[in-house]
Amino acid sequence: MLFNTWEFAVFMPCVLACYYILAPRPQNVLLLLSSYFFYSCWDWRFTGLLLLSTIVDYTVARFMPRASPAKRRFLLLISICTNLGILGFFKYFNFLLDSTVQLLEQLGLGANLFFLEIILPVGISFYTFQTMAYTIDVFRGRIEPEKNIVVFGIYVAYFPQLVAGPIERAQHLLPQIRARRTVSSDQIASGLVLIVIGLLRKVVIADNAATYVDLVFSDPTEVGWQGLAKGVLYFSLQIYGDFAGYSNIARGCSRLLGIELMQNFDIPYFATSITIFWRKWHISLSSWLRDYLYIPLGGNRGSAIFAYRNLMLTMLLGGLWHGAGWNFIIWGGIHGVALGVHKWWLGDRKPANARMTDFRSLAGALIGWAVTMAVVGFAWVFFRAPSFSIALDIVKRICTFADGSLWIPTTPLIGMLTLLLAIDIPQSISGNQVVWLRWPWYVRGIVYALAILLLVLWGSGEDVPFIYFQF
Amino acid sequence: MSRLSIFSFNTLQPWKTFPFGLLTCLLILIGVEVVVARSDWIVDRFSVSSLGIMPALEDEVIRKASPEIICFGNSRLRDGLSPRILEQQLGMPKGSVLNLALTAGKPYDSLVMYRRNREIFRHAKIMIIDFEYHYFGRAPEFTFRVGRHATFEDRVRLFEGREQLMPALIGGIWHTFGIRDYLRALMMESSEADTLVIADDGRIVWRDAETDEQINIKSNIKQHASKYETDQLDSGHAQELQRLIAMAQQDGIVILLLHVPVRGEFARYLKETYPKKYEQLHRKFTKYDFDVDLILDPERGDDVGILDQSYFDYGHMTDDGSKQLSEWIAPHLKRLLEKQSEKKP
Repeated sequence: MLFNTWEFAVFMPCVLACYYILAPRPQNVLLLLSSYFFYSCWDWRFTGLLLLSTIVDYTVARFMPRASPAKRRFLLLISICTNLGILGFFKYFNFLLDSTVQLLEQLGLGANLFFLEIILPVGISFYTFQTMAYTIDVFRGRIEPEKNIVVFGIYVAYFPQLVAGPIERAQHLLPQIRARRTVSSDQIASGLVLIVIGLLRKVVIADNAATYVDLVFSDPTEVGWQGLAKGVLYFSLQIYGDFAGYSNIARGCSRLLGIELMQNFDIPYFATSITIFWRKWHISLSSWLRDYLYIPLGGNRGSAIFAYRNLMLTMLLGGLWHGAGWNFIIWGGIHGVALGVHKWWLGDRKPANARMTDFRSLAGALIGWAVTMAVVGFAWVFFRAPSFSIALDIVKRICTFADGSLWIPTTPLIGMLTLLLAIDIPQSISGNQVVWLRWPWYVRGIVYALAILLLVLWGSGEDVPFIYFQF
Repeated sequence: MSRLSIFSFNTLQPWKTFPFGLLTCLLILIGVEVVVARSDWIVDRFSVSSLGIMPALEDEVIRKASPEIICFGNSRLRDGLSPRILEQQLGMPKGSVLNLALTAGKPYDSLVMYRRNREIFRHAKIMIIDFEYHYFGRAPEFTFRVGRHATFEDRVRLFEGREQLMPALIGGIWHTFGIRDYLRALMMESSEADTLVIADDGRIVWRDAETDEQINIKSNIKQHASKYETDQLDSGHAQELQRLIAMAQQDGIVILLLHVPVRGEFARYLKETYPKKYEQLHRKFTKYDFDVDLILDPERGDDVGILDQSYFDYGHMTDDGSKQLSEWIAPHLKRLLEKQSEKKP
């Protein structure tokens, strides 16, 4: 069940109607049941994995406080092995096998290994990372283990963020699930505004951009350098609209339930450096990687070489998290190199001000922004291209100004960019994602009507799945 | 614990925070619905568009005539039958034959047109309905005309059990949503109004000579034949056709089902490339056993003396082709008229 489908448009009001009339305890049971129903609409068989992950982490965490240090480490190992085992099998098994075969062939040792037809369970990377974070936090003594399995079950399977995040932290989400919730009129209003903004990003920007992206990346040899460059821009809009749109809808729906989810995107395409970009893009994943990978690897401690190594390893694994393919690893690698170069360029300097820009002058900020966007766009080619060789071909065709017969239009790109800026600029200036609510009522009325008309008239009209569902 | 305790009544004070913004939004949406989506001025302004053609035909042709023969169908019948030639052949006064076939017309469009103008049409004697084999290989689509004209009952019937049901039902209440594709197309493509043009031989002028010159016959044939590959067998259009037939028969009208013959080259290509599907669709059509007075099913143009040169493309006829088909069908119509004169003088 996708957020942008009629099924969800029926499901969500039904859940809300029942939720609002129930007392707190049955509310949690309802949340858990509806979350499992939501997930089973995609494929009921994989609810077993969700349940397994929930039971293992709940049990392991419950035993941890009373266990000896050695036992605690063993319990943590059980949790990590279970979660990474599930993730590894369903997501990386065939990739590892394929890479092994290729390596053996390169060494002149032909190998015929078997491959399995494995379906990737939707959202597996998100919920396994979320449950692992919980067990690690209990292991570190940062949080108490959750006693109520229903509460913990919701933490793992909470439907607004189950399939594409944000990857929530136990410290943030569990207390909200445990507590008696209230929903204020402000929450309802801002939740609805977030849903509308999310739908605009997804249905109007991302889904329409997808048409041109698919055209460009399916056969780049037919497209000239200008078309390819436009294709990269279209994809930049698509992935941002798609993922930020999902996060907005998830936060909006959750707000209607009285639960606040963390902000996952903070106008990343306005970032004036790659470091700032990663503080604004997929915040829940980048902070997860920082807290549970980069810092445990040593972080900035030790020599500069170690810090660069840690950064690179984190980004490579971050790339691999997105998908089982070398193109994702290379995407992570490009960002790792860019972050390393920026770290080196920055030296001991801190960002110039609280708004996180490295530059004191407008010209400097503009140059920083242009360089950042060039790096991000270049990396997107590897992220989206079906294979590494096609990605290289695209880069080569753009750099050599190659001709092509397929024409890619510019007008929709301008339209999408205009809409994106119309949403992002007010948010950036005010620092408020629901700044619409602060505007005078007549402006609000016009904006709401325009947003609805845009959704109706310019929505793609097809149920295009969210890109991050595949991760 | 009280029910509805989830709401924080400290902030939920509707009397203090009246939602003026929402009200403004609603008023704007109602304005768009009334002024654009539910009014005819925008449709009338673009009378040659897929949507505007129907009311334009009603104003310019149907309400000015007292037809004896009416023709419904798609663009191939639109181009294939000439009312003036038929009138000459049958010795009828001008305006007795109406060719109301529409571009991309489907049985449902004909049903709607008949329903809207039944008072005029019920006096007719013969109805010629075009049928295409690929009608029987396709489910009804959510077209502009469905979005604009379908009743609630139609929407349920056409899309029951299909993904389009929900948008079709919502579109029935909220027309801005129902004809969104049309409004978008208007904004994107049409900035200048156009008017309906009827040629001297009574056919709607739709074709553009410049475009016709550029047609590559080989690829055109290939492209249209591919529908035989992709279309799934479905009975949706056949059911609409049955409804139209039943409604006309209630009014005492004789029905002639006509398959407008396709270009010989196209028919041969179809049989060679998709022999199985072609056979299936033919069989499917005969299975319906339409209770009509006459079925004329010339497969190819050359079966009735219309050579490939008399076609623009895979199946649309030139003036010459239209003349030949009209002359070929006239004797059949004469016989039906004679039979009908006893029942409906």
